[in-house]
Amino acid sequence: MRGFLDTLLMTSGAPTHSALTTALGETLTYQALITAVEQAADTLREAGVQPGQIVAVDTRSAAAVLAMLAVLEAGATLMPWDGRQNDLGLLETARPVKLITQASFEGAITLASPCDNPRELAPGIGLLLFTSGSTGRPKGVLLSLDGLMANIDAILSYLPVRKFPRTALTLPLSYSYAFVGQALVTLRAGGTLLMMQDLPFPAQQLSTMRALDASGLSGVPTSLRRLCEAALDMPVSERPQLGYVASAGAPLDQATRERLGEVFPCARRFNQYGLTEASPRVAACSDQEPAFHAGSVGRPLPGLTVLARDPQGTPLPPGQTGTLWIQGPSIMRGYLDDETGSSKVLIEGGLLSGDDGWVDDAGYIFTVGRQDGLIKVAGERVSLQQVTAVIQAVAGVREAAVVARPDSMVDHYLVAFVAGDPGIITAIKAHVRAHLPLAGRPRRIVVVEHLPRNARDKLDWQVLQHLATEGGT
Amino acid sequence: MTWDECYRSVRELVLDYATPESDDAPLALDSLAVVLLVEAIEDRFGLTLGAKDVTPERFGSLGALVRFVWSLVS
Repeated sequence: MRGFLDTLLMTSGAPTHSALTTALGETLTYQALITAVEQAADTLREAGVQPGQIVAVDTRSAAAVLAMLAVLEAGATLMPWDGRQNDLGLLETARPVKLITQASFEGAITLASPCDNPRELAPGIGLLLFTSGSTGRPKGVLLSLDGLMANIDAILSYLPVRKFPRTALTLPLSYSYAFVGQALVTLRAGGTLLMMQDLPFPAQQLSTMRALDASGLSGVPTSLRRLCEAALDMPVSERPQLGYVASAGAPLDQATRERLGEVFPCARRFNQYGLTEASPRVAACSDQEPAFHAGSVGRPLPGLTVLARDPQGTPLPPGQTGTLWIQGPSIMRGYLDDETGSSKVLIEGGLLSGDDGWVDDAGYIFTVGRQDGLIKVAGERVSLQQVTAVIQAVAGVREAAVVARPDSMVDHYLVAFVAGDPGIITAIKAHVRAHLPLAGRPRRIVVVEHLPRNARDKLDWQVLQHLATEGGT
Repeated sequence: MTWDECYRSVRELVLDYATPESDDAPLALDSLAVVLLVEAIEDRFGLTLGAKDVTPERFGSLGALVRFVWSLVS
């Protein structure tokens, strides 16, 4: 049987070609990458890791990408885990047989055993990714290796990575967008990954992209807005010479679409749509297509079908708004330990995305938001139910309500209203920091005597939305 | 606003995105943390920070960040 790397790199470039370059300019050739990944995979096998078991990888370092490839090479299921967020609950839920805490470019890995009773999954699951769910608890998304490979090739059918092969990787490797949509796609195309996750400042990212001769950039709208702002402060001759700039993860507004064209005049712009449950990419379009300028997220990728369905599940004709439903090889196998949740979204042989939208006569998709309390903060999916539940778990909180406000930089920000004693805010903040990812932490927490209610004694969301627009803490 | 109030406010915001061991220890923010912290500071102090303001020197440590914010609000 062919190993994962063999399959992935089938069409890749020469062994001496550079596969990976760090921000400091250290370079790994394809041959060195293969050797390092095989060595790390051997270490996993010697540690008793079996196909069907889960191996988590702390995704913080640039070398983590080698450890992630090694897990797949060893035939196990990869669970990216961001050690910075340090969410131990995810490890308890997933029960991985090993956690790779550190990795080197030479293929050395450090293993920990985070649980006593490791789980066995069905064969063929390549990735386990956790994402916010509308019920309030993070959901584990199970993606097959075949589906991932199908998605990688579908992405390469439109994204010009072969023509512009030096990919700037600025997003965390724990995102499917970064690991699948950029890292695996670039390696499949024989390109070079420029590992820039350790550079958090936009001006720094731009000058490093320039120094490393980056030719392709993918980001979420928030990161692209910050980069545009920084780029406008520098002469055109000092900006990176990008061949393409791609956006996904949240709606790309008209101002940012246009700004990207001004800042990177030679770059083809792409708007894309996807979700973790779809491996992740579903649709894309470039600025050569009129629909891009009208705000479309594009047409379905080869092999995928997208249509809108009404609340009863009936397919809607073009132009009518419903919930977007996606069919094709790259949709998930299901949610971990959640048959009820899986059967709610896996219907009619496809995936109900939860995103509302419509498809026009030419097949272009337009998204209009969601109804289920899941919102985007800086491109990350955040569950208002989860944030509310975490705050309500603090002793002394009588009642809590969380409001999302639209924001031109970070998509949305959160304001939490809490009924309780004024002194409770310290305890709430500590609890929020321990139990919510960065994007889920409210910008403001407002403690009040009682939450506003309407004449029918229901929470008055209109008043809360209004209060949330007022400044101060 | 006094220096002490400024220090306490900035520290409170920073702790949502980093856990520095001291005022001079590196904040070790990732790019998501940087953008969220910038927005939180703008919101709390009524400031608008441009890309030029968001540098490793100013956001490198809690102490540096407090000095930077204090220079804008005092």
